[in-house]
Amino acid sequence: MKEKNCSGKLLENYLNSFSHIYIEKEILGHEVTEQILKRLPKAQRVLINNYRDIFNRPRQNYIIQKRSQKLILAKKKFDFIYPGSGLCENFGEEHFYYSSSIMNCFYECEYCYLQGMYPSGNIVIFVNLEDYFSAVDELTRDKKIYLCLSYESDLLAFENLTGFTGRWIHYARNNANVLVEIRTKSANFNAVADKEIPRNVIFAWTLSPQEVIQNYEAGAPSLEARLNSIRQAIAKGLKVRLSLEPLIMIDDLETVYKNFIHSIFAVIPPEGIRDVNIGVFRMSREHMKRISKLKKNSKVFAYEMNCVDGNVSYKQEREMKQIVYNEVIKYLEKDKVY
Amino acid sequence: MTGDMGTVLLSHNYVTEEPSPCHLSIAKNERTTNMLYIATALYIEAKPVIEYFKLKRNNEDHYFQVFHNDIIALIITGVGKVNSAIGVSHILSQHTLKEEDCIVNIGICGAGTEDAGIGRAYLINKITDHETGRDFYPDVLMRHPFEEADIETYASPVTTESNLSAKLCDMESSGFYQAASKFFSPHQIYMIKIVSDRLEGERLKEDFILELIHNNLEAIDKFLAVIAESFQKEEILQADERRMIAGVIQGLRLTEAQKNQLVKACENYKIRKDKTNSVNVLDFLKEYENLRVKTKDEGKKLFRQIIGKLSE
Repeated sequence: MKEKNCSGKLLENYLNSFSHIYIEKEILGHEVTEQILKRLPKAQRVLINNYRDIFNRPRQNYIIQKRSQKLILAKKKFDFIYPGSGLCENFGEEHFYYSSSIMNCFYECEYCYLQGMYPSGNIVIFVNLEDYFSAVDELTRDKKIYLCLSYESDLLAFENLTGFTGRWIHYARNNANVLVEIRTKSANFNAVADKEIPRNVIFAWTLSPQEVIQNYEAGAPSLEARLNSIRQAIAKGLKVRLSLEPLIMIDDLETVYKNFIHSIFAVIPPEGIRDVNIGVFRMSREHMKRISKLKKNSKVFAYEMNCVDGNVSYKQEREMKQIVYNEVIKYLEKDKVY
Repeated sequence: MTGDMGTVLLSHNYVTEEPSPCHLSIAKNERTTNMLYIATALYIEAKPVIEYFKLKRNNEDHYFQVFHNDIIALIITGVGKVNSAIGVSHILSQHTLKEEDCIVNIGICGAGTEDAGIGRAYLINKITDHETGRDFYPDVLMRHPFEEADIETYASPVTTESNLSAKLCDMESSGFYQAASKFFSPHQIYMIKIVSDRLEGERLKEDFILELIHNNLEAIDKFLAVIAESFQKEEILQADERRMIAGVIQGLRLTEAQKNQLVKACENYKIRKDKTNSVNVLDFLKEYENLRVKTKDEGKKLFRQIIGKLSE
């Protein structure tokens, strides 16, 4: 189900996502382009000159477009790597960067900051991953960097279409100066399970209580499915990161989150966990205004918020974090909890 | 349109039939009060549409031929992208537009390739303006019964396929789209083009054009019914809840700021309780609905009481 408030009859009217693929003429024939087109043979193909002609059109409706997302295949020409945001946890890493080879996601999380960040709800895949690797080569010539790859999409969720996660794993094996993080809500570890994954690749799963997933993370895999994927990664010898964010206000919050933490550690061995970060939902006030305008019935913003230094969060932000922190440290050493 | 009208070269019989049941009217009556705008270049393209949807001429419009009923406003813009843009701007600027409204360009076009059969209707997914080289992309989000194609818009009639970059060609689409996109989002703009010729340079008979449009009208109608019902917004507060809140606002003599705060608090309360479609959540407001306070202070006190309950 794509939108809870939309009746079944209305959703039936919409074309399936990826019904259309818009392709920059320049990357016709590129290996990744061909691979994606082969996997989606029935999609209507529309040739374009520049992805911005369609992605940056004025007056697009993100919410309506999400009901039938289109793929846009393009070539990234500059800005392959960005400095990390102050709103994101850097886990003590000095040189923190992020990179986006895919823009937008096919999950529909109510709280997601991607809403309102781009002018379009469609998905752009930059097929020229080799140019990203060159940019990282350049940046890591004289320093070690921490590079998050899956902030503006969910790289692993797209793996069957793009193969990008596998290629980043391969790249990281040959560049010891890069520590990459691949964050996901997917249950798709299977797609890379046969790869030799080096220690400088961190898989990070964003987890939420099933009650939050049901109410706020439409289209995303269940908690159980994500935990199964994590177990698979740990069984392969990986130490995974758990990202318990954003913590979301929900009825009976304390019980829900305590049960949630318990259910994680009931199936995940603590020695398989590299670290955990905990963060309450927060967002810049300006961005929140944009999303509220897009989604007038958003549950996220139906609770009382506080604004500190231009960033909004729940009034009970500190208490929420404390509840979860206290529960996590029952299972993990404090120095592993951020 | 790919050429001007007049000379009769092809012979087809167009027969006016009793209009079939209108899918669009049914869809609209069931759900909405939103409007559908239709633009055609020529009267002859509009005539079957006018008859099918039983539209009436608006005699108050002195600049364009406009036809309408409760749910449709149709304008005949004249041939060419400039005329199309002017006509679209004219009709849209005369109405209070809603996010659920849509605009559709219905008309004939030429095709440079043989696989585009005469009489086949296409939904346009890309427009190229031949003179400027600019491309435009309407969103194609809804299921539809048509094939899709790109179209190239020319300033003058196209008589050769030598420089055609798209499957179809016409003289209106780029002007229509550019004007419509000043008012609407890309998912609210549609172009349905019916192939009338393969750029032979022959002039088309009126009856032939009538028949081309007429033959595709039922499919067009069904599609219009789909787009008419698919962009409806879910209102958080139901009509009777709004009436009840209006009663509270009046009875408690609330200020404009208090009124806005109350409505927002009621909406948030309903969202939090996850009962958007229920009318029961705000029932406790009924006890305030018919109160009539004598002083503003009294109203303020009760207002705080209500906000307190809505914050729970």
